[in-house]
Amino acid sequence: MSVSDLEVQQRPLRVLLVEDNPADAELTREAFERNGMEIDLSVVADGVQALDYLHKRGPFVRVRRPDLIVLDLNVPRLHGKDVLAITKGEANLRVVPIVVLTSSAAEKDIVESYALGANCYVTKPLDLYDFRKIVSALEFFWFNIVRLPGYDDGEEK
Amino acid sequence: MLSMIGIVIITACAVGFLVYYNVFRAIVPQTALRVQANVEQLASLMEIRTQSARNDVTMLSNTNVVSGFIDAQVSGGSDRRFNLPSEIWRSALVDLFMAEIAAKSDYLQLRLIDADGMEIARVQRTVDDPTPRIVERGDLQSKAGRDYVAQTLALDVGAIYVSNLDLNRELGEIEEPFSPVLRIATPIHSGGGEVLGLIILNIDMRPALDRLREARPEDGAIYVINDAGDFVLHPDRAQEFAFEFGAPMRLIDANPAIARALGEAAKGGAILGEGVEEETTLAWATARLAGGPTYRVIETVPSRILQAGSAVGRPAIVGAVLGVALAALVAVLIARGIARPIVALTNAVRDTQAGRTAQFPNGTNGEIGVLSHALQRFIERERWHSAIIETSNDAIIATRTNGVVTQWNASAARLFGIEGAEAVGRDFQTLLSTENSLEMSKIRREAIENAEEGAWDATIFRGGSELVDLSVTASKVFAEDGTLLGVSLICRDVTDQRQAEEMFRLSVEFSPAGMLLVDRKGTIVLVNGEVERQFGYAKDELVGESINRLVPDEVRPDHPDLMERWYLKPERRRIGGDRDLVGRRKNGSAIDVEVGLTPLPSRSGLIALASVVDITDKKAAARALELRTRELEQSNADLEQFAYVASHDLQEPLRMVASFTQLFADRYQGQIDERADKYIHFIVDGAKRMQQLINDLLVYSRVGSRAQSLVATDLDDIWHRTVQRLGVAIRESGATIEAGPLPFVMADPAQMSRLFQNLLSNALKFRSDAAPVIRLEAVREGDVWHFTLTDNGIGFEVNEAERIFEMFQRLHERGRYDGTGLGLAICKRIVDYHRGRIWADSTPGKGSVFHFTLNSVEAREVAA
Repeated sequence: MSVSDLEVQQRPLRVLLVEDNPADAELTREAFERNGMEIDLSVVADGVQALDYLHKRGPFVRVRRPDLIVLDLNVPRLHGKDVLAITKGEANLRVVPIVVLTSSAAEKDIVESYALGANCYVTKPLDLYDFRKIVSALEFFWFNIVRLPGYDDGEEK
Repeated sequence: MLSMIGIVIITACAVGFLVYYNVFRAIVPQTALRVQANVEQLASLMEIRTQSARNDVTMLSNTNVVSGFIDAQVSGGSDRRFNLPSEIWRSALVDLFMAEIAAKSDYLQLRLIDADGMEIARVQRTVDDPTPRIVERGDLQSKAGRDYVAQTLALDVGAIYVSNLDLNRELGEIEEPFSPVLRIATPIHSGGGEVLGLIILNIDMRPALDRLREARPEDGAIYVINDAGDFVLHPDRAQEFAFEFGAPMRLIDANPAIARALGEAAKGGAILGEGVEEETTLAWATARLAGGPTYRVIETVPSRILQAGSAVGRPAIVGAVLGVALAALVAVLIARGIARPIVALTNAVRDTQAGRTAQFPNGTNGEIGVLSHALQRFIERERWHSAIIETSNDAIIATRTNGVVTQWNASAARLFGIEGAEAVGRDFQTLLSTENSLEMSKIRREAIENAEEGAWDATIFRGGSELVDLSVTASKVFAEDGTLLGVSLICRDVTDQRQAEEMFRLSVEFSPAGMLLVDRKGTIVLVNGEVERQFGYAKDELVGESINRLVPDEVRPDHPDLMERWYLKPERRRIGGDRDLVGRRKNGSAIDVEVGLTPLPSRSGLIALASVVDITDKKAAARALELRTRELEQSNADLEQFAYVASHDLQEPLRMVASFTQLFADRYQGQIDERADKYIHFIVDGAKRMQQLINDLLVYSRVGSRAQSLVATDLDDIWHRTVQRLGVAIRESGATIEAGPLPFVMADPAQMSRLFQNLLSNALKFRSDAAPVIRLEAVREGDVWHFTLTDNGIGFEVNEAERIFEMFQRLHERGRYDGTGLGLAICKRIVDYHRGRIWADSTPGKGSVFHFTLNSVEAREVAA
């Protein structure tokens, strides 16, 4: 491992959480933080904000492209699936993995989400401990096991 | 054949006569013929005189007197029949003989001679004494030696002996003056055939011969000769009967020229020019005396006496003979040619009349052939006509103007029950039974009086009871000259036809569809009862009116065009099927209809048959169904939406409750007491149960709410997956799971999976203390499979068997057995959705059996 690698690895991981329920957002943040990893978690409350964020529009002019997007489907103004469709329709955003984290267990939502390009689909469990396990697993999977574009090579945007 | 022979003979005779006559007429003077005629007359005079004598002999021989006398004589006393003595018989006989002789002046003797030739009775007159007298018994002579006795006795019964002419002898001496005598005799037989004697008549021939002598012409002569040619009559009387005196004088000797001319001919005529002193006309004829010996009478007259004459007599006769021969030959040929076909034709006609197969001589040439052809054609045509009438299925009756039946065929006999033989010749009106006569006679009268011919409808009784509909055609029958001969009635049985027509009319009238006939101008020609009902009009308000009456106002302007368009391309067409077609009732209200149009060729051109079906109810039903379907779809969509929302939005608050309660406990661990921990557990557990309830409700609501197509589903496979999925619970409970072979059924696989899972979970959950043994089996029952899931669990009370399938029904207190109370309700819903049945029975403490049925694959195929 080179010095630059190490340096790069020190950069906090940028996660965009799209979630209208502040309680859920709090739970998610709590779960991420418990694992001690340095996560730069940004939260937007609806679909429109999510796209603004990703397109660095309005209040989000200065933000950076997230390394991972955690998306609740049932969000106001613009549905999560629309966000998914638009994001996966754009070449420079398509590369960002999207984890759909939602309370829906409907087969229809699962199928449609994957069809639109979701990278994985997780149903929020009712039990807190189960939820924590899932968030840990996601964190571990996406930031330790798989390699993400523009992170490992230290690219900054 | 007889006629043929007749033709030949007549023809030959006619030709012979004509030739002879013509030749003679040409060359023999009329007077020569008179000689011939004269001599023939003389000959026949002799014959007649002797013939009557012969008849007298026959008559006398047959009298009782003769036979009685002979019989009595033979028996030497009395006869056997009347038992009278012979003396009485003799006296009677003699009286009879006397009467006979007295009546006939030329009868000389009548004698009865016995079989020995002895005279036993004799009555006579002599030449000298013409008074008849009875010869005394003592004067009777034996005639045994005489030829005539022997010859007569040898004859058969009824036969007659006739002697030659000779001179009478008395006691062997020729009597003076010479008296030529003819003897006629016949034998007398007993009843047994024995010859008893004979009866004999002597006739004095002098008067007859004198008659001939007197007829001698001037300068001419008359001769009579016997067979041998001896003269028995001669102008010179010395020449007569010369053979009686031993010096025969014959014609051939005395007058050879005449003898040659005569030859052997019985009669004839000739003219002698050679071998005589002067030309002489000669004629002769033959007389047979009493049917016995023949004598030829010859007359000669000098030709000068006869004014004219030439030597052509013989050629005339020769010519005549030749003519006869030739004519006979030709006549035979012609007669054969004519008679044969005529006979054949006659036979053919006779055969035809007798009904036998007739052979017509059609091969014959000439008129007979033509006649035969024509006759055969005529007969055949006549037969045809008769056969046509007789075998016709129609009753054919002919009557004269006065009503007398002249023809009555077999069908008429069947129809009216009266045989032809009985009917013909009788009065038509009185012939028929009263009820039939009235109608039939009326038709006949109308045909004859009103000059109105044609068809009538009639109804008659056959056999007194069966009603028969008739179509009667009555026609007047005219002779060629226009005279009215009578009336013919042709009666056709149209019962079946009428019945069919009536049935047809009724089936149209009572057809469940309205029927309208509309012509091209749009005029209604016919409507049935249903149309009346549909549109509220009476028939007479529609027939003859325009179809527009039934058309709503808004369509009326376009209707004629629409109709005309259809008439331009007439075809069967259904209108109003997919789009609204409305008719107008009498009260102005609308009626939804469907109309089938059929072009019908009719006498007045193409006509439209419209069958109208009232689809108001159908339309209303369709609209209601459509509405309900839409409502149901909406309801399903709402439910779907609700289910989605429930799955998503209802869960989030629950999660918040549970998660943050847990988070709270986590964060403040150690700062709260144990009781708080218990409360926190209740909160989280409540939330979890609520989540389970929501999920089960979702499942329940989704069963049947989505249009799932049923497919052939392998239940064996689904069962094994279910067992696999519940592996943990099965292992933990130590359960034994068994299953028989499971079929394919028509089902939604996901729901089958849910069904098995719920039932299996149920069985595992409500286990007893013993290790669970659970078994699934399937039995085919007709079109369905009957499944039984048997367990050895705690079971339930029988009265709870229904309740366990209801929603939220729990048999046990919360806490002992987890669950939402929806598991079995979902099972019931799934089975219901598959059109099966689910039920359960149980012995509490022993276990339960859950039954359900599902349609087999085959049943579905059949239903589809």
